[in-house]
Parts: sequence; C-alpha cells; structure tokens
Amino acid sequence: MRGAAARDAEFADFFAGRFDSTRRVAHAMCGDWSEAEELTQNAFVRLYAKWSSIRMETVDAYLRTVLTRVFLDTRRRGRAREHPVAEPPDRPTAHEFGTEERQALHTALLAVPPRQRAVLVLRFVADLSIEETAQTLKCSTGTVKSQTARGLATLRAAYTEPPCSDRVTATGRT
Amino acid sequence: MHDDESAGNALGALAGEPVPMATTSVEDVIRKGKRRLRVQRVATVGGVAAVVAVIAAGTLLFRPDGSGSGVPVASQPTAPSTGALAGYSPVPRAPGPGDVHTSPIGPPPTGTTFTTTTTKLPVGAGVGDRCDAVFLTPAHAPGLPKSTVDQTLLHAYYTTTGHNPVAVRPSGRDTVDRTDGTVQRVVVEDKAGELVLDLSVHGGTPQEAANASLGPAPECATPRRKTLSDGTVMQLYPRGSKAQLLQVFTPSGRTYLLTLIPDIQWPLTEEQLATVADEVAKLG
Repeated sequence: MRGAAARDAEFADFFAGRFDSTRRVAHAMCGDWSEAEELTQNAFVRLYAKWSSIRMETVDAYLRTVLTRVFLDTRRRGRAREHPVAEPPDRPTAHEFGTEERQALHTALLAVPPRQRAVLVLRFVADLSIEETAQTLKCSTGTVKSQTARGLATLRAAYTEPPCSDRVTATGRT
Repeated sequence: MHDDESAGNALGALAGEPVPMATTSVEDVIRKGKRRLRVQRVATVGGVAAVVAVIAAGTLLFRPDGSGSGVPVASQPTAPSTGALAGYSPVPRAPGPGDVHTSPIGPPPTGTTFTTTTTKLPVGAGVGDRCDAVFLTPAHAPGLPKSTVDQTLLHAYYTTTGHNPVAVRPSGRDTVDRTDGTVQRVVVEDKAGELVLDLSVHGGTPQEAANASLGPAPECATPRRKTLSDGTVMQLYPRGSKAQLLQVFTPSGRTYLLTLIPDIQWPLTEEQLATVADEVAKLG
C-alpha cells in the first residue's frame, strides 16, 4: 500500500505532465480559458480522490471521462458561461493556424450542442479513436459516429472564414 | 472548411494551441482532493444517519402486531435545555440492534419505493465507531426545487456568519458519487471548511424518524434534541474529529442533514450551525 507522501508525489508528477494538455481539451469544449482551468481543476480533484484505487494504465482514460462529465454536467445544470469573446486573449500566434482562424473555429464550435461538441473535441483535439471516444462517453460506437457527423455539420454551418489574415502580425492583432 | 475531413483537420489544429499560464497549483488540487475525500467519508455517515431513521421509523410504525407506537425513547420536546444550546436537551440511549430491520419495510412515506444496502459507519465522524447501519435509498427522491434549497442554505449561512462563502455547489451527483443523485445536496464552501446540506425523505412522524435515527449500536454517539411547535425535530450530534452533524426531521416527511466539515478550523460555531438549521427547517 502506498504511503500518503508517495501517493501525493506520484499524483504531483502526473499533474505536472497532464494539466496543460487537459486544459487545452477543456478549452476546446467550453471556449473560455478561465472556465477551462476550473473544469480541469475539478477533474483533477476528483482524480485525486480516486487516486489510490486507479490503475496507472487507465488513468488517462479516467481523467478524460471525468473531464467530459464535469463539462457536460455544467451544461446540463444551465450554468454555462458560453459567450464568444470579441477579442482573443493575448498569446503567441501559431505558425500554421492563425489567431483569427482559431477564434473563428472556437466560435463555431460553441454553436455545436455540448454532447456533440464533446465528441468532436475527443475525436479531433484529443485524437481519440471512435472506440476510445465511446468508452469515454459510455456510449456505443454508432452513437459516436452519428454525433460526429451531426457535430461536424453544425460546425461547418457555423464556421465563418475570417477575413484575410494579413492583419495578423507576429505580436497579434494590429 | 468544405467537408468533414477538412473540418476535422481544422479541429486538430486546436491541439497545438498555446496554453496561457495556469493559476492552479498541484498543492491546491491535493488540498481540495483531500477535502473531497473527507466529504465523501462524512457523506456515508450522513446517509446512514438519515436512512436509519427512515427504516427504523417504518419498522416501528408497521410492526405486524400493531404495536407501532411503542417507540423506545423518552419524549422531551418542551423539556428545559441541559445542553449548551437553548432548546436542545440530551436524548436517551438509542434503540437496541433488534429494533432495526432491513426488510420488508413498511409503506413508504410518499408513495416511493426503496432499495436497501448495509454498511458500517466510518470512524471519527461524530456518530461513533462500528455502528452497523442500513442505507435506504428512495428510488425517486422527492425534493424541493434545487434553487430553493440552494438559496435558503446560502441565505441562512450568510445571515448567520455575516460573510460570503467561497463557493456554493448545488446538488449531489457530481459532489458525492455514492448518492447516485438520489439525495439532494448543496455544499457551501468557506475558507475554514464546508457546510453540506443533504435532503432525503423519512417515514412516520418527525419524532419517530428522529428516534429511529439514533443508531442500533450502544457505542453510537447520542445527540441533543430540540422540537419545534410544528413537530419538527432537530438533533445535534457532538463534534467528532472530522465533522459535526445536525439533522432536521420535518412533518412533511423531509430529512435535512447539515454536516459541518472543518478544514483549517470549524467554519461555524455550534450556535451558528443551529441557527442555519432553524432557517433550513422553514423549508418544511
């Protein structure tokens, strides 16, 4: 049986290695960095509470499941704080996918219903297979396929190509 | 983004998105995780306390020989207080182990069906050690609208302590896995600790339910009790090392369980907890 200090150290290592990537997935789901941090923190708190009984080989899957549930629970309770921001926060500009494109994509993603959005994020942002996504969401692969198709259709309908990106510079908007 | 494939590829680009600096530390997460563990452990005690009340009340009320009114505890609603809190007086010892049975349970109080499981109370939560008890889970938990419960508890907390709590987390499923969402729960979090309110149902009168909740094992802690003019019974348990419980049994068949969980210190005094309970009792 692991001691409390060893358990906490092990958890801290896992936290250090996964917190940012989990936050990125959470952000894709909710579209807001502060809420993404809250969702991620809640997921890790729950993970800690189960840490003693979780097998290391399944811990990533468990974390994804918890994060998705936390996200969907907040939407079910109507406490969503989804509001597309007028200006993106200050951060470095990606080389291959500009700030404006990303922002337009996030805005379109928020138009997708939460459960379909969760499927899209797990499939394409977290890069899970259909089977892994079904396992995470506790549903059938058929459901994942149909939700993916519907979600992508909604996303494409909601996506508006940003204007020419020549206004984007290395330091952000001009 | 002209087809599903390009849409999927575009989403994939979000995986490489820059992440802003986090404000959450692993120490915060571990501290909250430990607190969550404490809440889960205490929830077991709280669930047992409320549930034993329902079972035993049903058993006592619906004995085959018709002697359902023979509740083996003294009445004390109007007795002067001998405890530290006004209106609360000590309750005599709990019924013996033979007084509580798991099945069959008498007619449910509100047309609800129940499932039962047996468990042991954990140590050090203010209710005593090694108290075998029975969970009674209503299949369809009747309750007040969540918002009403949330607002009442928050109002009671605020007016009692005069300061704002850090957070209020409504309802059960995501807070306490064990409840399966059948016990309505609100958690008020303060810097010093937490106040948890659980709402469930009981059978029989408030006094019968309160009597039945006293626990079958002799080493179970006994509470102090206060009875209001409308028949509402309130039971305050002594502080344990990890929690303090206050039950409110109302004539409408609802059981409110207030659980005070300290962190750095006790977030409420015993008097403040009792005041919050007075306000919660007004929910009926």
